[in-house]
Amino acid sequence: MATRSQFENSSEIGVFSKLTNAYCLVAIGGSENFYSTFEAEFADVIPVVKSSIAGTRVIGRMCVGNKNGLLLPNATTDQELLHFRNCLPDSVVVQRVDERLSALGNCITCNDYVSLIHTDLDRETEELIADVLGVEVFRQTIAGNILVGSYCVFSNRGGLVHPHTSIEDLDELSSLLQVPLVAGTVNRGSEVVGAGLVANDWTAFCGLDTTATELSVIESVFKLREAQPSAIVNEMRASLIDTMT
Amino acid sequence: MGKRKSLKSSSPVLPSSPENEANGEPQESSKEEEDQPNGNSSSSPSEDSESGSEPSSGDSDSDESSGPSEDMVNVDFEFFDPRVSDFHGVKTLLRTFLDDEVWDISGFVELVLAQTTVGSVIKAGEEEDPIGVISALNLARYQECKCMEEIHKFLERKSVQKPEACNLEELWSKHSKEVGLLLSERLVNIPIELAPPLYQGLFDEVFWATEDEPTGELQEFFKFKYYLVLTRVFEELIKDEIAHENSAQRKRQKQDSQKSGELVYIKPEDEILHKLSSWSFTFPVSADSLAAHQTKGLRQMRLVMAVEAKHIESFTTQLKTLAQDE
Repeated sequence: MATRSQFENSSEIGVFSKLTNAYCLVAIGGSENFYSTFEAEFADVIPVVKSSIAGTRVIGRMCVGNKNGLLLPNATTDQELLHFRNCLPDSVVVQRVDERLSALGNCITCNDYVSLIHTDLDRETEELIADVLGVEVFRQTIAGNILVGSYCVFSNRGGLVHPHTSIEDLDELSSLLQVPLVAGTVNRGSEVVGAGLVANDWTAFCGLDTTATELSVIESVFKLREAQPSAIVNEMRASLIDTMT
Repeated sequence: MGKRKSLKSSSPVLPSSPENEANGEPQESSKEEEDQPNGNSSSSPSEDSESGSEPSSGDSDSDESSGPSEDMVNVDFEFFDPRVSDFHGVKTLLRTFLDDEVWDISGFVELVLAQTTVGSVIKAGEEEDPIGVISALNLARYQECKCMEEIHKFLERKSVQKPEACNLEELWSKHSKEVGLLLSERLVNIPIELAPPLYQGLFDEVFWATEDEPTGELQEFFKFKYYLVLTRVFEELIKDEIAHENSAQRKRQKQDSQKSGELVYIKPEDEILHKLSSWSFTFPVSADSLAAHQTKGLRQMRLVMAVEAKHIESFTTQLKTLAQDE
């Protein structure tokens, strides 16, 4: 299920939060509404951690992570690092990265198996990503943009990219990532899908300005609708036994 | 297609990049909000790079450049009718209109963009993002809209215990058909030379609308007798206040409207409007996040004032003189 939300009047959900299959990070905000939206959805399933990174609230753009690990920029303070290590499950490796391009969320995008990175990222960082996050790393551009983290959001089941991505690029990326991809927008025509949307394998959150069409595209490409009971009737019928006489 | 309305105003300005300018916050030098992807940031948002490299003023007489690597580039600013595609830029400009209140900004922006006959958007080019917006919205015309009600409630709350509260209420209830909410937001570093044509353009449009609108009802909506302005100012803190400032900020103290601190106007035209206003009051900005950007010795405040329409001509003349003198 995809839910609309906003952080203090901003529809840029992906800037103030980070969502993976194992945890969810949320920025410290003026009102508790944003945090409660995530809490309501995830309650006992995965931990929802409120924090800042380097004293800023734009945590979604500063860090990158998946169920295996979390990478933080070198400007992250020691207290913040400790806070993450304490609150996240032990299976998640939390690591600070010394990298010139410190907005990791803009430069790297990943799911639990594969990742796309900014073309100018250091070799050491690339190795660290492969190590900590346990993913295969590919240097790519999206519709000519090097900020892959801003223009692409994908989970283990599907992904959304910049609307101007060509069909050839879409096919190439799709085969690299091994998930279906769709070129689309979020938040009423915004091309920066990474800033407007966060998703994991069973849920997604997007900004309040997202239109119904955009929302339905998101639900369909991330396969969120399959969580609905109707899936049983429509798709699984052949393999289910209805009655036995 | 956006109609080009007035002659371009050129001034030498050092642009960082059109995207950075457009998505920059107009009033707050926010170090946190980052809607713009920035791969090379060491957590520095668009504003930091913008303010770090801009020259001190858009002075067309002097040709100073502060360093050997900085070039002066001419930028043309143009005014256009609001368009639906300006949604994101205008929303960013109006994001702090009601401070940190959660309200229907999207609905409000839609209202502004729908009113193409009165209202303008400043852009560096037709396909660029808006860097400024100005409009006048009739209170009665939009009174049913959720966003207008929220603005009303916000102002009501902030004016409680102030003597001007009844003046405000009068405008909203009795005179609402003749009151225009004058909203003008732009990036702080836009040169002052833009202000006179901007306001002149708006008031010209208001006048033309009273004659050109298709129906009599619509024409009536632009026959403004009053303009209601909600703007941002700074107030100088006197010495003992600075010491108690941090503790005072937490408590909801009774605001003494006769604060002895002087007002510092972010937009120069606000000073002229304030002098011409029939009544006005200020209230402090409530947001913790906005308050964090306080400059030493200055407190961020909001100024609400009502200006009678008959003073507008004097305002535009004074504004022209002010811009010429700068």
